[in-house]
Amino acid sequence: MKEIGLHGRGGQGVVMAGELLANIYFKEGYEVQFMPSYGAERRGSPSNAYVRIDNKRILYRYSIKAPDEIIVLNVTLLPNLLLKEGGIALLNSADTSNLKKSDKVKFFVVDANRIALECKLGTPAIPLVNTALLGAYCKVRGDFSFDTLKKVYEEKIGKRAYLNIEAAEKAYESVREV
Amino acid sequence: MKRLVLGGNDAVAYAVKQSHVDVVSAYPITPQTSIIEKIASFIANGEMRTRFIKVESEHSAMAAAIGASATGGRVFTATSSQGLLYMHEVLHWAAGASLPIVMANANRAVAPPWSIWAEQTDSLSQRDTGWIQFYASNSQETYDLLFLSFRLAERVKNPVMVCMDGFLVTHTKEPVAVFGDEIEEFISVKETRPLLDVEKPEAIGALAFPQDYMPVKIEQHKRISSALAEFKTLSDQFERISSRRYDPIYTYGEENADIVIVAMGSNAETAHLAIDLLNKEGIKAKLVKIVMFRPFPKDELIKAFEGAKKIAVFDRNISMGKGGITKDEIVGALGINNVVGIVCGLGGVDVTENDMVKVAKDVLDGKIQEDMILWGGR
Amino acid sequence: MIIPKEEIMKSNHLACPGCGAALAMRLALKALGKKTIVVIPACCWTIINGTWGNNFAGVPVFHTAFATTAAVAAGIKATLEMQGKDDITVMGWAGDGGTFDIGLQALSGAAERNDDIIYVCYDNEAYMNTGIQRSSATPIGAETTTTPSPIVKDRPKKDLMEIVAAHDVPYIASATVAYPTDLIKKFQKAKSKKGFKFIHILSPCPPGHKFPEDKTIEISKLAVETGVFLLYEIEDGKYRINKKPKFKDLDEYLDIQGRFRNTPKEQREALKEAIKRRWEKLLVKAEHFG
Repeated sequence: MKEIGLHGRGGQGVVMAGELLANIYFKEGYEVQFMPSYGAERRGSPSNAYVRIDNKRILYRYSIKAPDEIIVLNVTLLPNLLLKEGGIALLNSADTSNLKKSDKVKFFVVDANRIALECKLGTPAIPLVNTALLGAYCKVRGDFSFDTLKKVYEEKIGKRAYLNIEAAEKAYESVREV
Repeated sequence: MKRLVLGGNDAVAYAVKQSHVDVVSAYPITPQTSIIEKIASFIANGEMRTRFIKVESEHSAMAAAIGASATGGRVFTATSSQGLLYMHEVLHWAAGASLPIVMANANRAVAPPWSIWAEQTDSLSQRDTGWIQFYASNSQETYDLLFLSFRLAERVKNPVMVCMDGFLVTHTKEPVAVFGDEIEEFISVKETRPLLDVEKPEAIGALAFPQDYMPVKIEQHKRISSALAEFKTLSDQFERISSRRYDPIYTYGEENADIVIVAMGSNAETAHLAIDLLNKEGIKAKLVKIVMFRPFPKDELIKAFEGAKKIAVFDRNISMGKGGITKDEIVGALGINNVVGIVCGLGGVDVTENDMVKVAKDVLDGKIQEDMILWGGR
Repeated sequence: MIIPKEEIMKSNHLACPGCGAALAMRLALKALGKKTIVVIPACCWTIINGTWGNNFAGVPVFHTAFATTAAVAAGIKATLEMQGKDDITVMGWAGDGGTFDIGLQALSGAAERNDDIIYVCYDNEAYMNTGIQRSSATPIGAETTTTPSPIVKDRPKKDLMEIVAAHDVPYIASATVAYPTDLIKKFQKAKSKKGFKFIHILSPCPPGHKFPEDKTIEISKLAVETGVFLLYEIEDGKYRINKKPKFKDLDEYLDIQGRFRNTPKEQREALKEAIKRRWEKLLVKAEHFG
């Protein structure tokens, strides 16, 4: 079983990203479980969602504390996040100067803010980075095909799916390990 | 049948859409709201032909459901926690008037302090309102139990509540097998009847003196009690269509278990993992999940507990000054003394398979003999 | 107009002699006809309609919980609409306690949604069924078992007509049993209109108001003639005064009712002042929104 945490702030599309990711793995033939974490909902407050992926029915009915991998939509949250040893952290960041290299965690970065805005997703104040980050995640993990991602975006997003696919492609191309 | 990734709330809304519901009356409350939002969007898209009364309170939600049902409509509503408590008076009314209303309840802790997370004290404190109660553990069960509930409610002329733990079932999305047209032969059978008929003007619910009141209540008790047998009949029909079987209780693990874990709702999902761990250690363990809480499946439980040395009942609910409610129900109905009650997970606190394994072992070994509250601290 | 001869409501009902509420239902059903479903919460009519197995209204009746009249009626109408039974009238029939007080929220909800029902408040100005306790419809100065002399009710009666009017519904009317043709016409009009209709009926109560049982009509009439109870309609937002009060001496109305026996002088004056002010307000509305 693999557990993925998605972490951002309200308005960035964290819950949507989790649901898309669950559907992508489901389309690839996995059993999936998507568990959003709800609190006092408001714009700008931390927002978390989790996805469990397995080859058999998932029976865990409690929250995930330290996932195997995290996708971080807003890096200001990073100090508060937990990750399993040997895990992967994919960060939405243009700047890697503050990241300390660690032998316990692998960091990947992609400038999803820039990509989202180039693809007309969201506003400069709150770029919608969720769909771009999943494109980068596809590259980093490589356990689902980009084609499945495209299909799920087309089914779930509707008219503006092409912009999100474009963002995912750009992120796929530009994500790099720190 | 196709599989979709749905939360419990989505599954409920899909089932309602496919159930030819005439009237929905509902009021928003977290974590139920996405059910009625989805229903509203189905109606707006023309996917559903249903009158949705957007009431000003839960009390009125149930009252409107009562009126709609008494006129012969198939009626659905949904609520949670404070909303359910606000309905309390009219829950009795719906059951007393033999109205086949179906309601989904998102189990949520009761304030104060404010909480929106999972706990079953809300619906368990409606235990005596005369409603049939189901507790679903996952999205598939909420979906399937909705269809069974409409049929059962109409068959036995009694309202049905389908309960699901807030967020842990309502919002947790997972693959659900969704019917196409194959459910039609089952769900298109409507046994609703108008109590209010201008051709046959009767007064429903008039003042009854003691000698009139008591026979009516005896009849009501018989009616809801008949739901155990009727559920099995309908479940047979449902199984033929879906290949999925529902019974008042569900068991998993070693047939002749020494230790039985009893759970209801989302805890019963995690409990499967605990049973696997215990069995792997060579401890003969079994899960008994209560699916139907009212009418209470006494005979089924007697059979399931046969030969068990110890029974550990995990209750995500509490009767203050007493303890876990299902534990108490089991002891009360079966008169057995090898049961330990564990109150756990109040207000959405996590309950893990490791918690269950540890407690179950201690119960079996006699290290835990008294009812307890499982709380590991912050 | 000719009052319909057919009696839908049956005799031998369980109302007290001289009950204004029994007469009001009799007239209302004459206007609405047999294809009517009635919702009755806890109130005198719970008893009047007969105990288990009886139904003196002569049309289907759903007895319901105190606060639920409007919501239950809305639910009934919703199913009838789904069944295509558009010729059946749904009427909520509640007392002042069930309307002014505990049922006000559900009433407001149904009015705001413009549910296609007729909501009737038969107002006997106190909780009569439980033995004469004050409600928010009890007039200032009246004695009840919860406002015993010398602490008679010291707050004015709630203006429910105007509360309902604030919901912008198609039809609102006041009526009382001393004016049967006026009352019947209003029910007929309510039946003919789609959406939420509200009818406020002043319903004198011999045991509660403490007057002889043969004085019901006289008191109902005096209430209108003194200006205590104003007969008017608000149809699609337009005010129409049906009967201009003669402004007879209020004491004549008060003195034949035992409930005002201990009303202090200053409260009698307050009542008179309230009548004046309400009339002046209504005149302005009728002039500007008539």
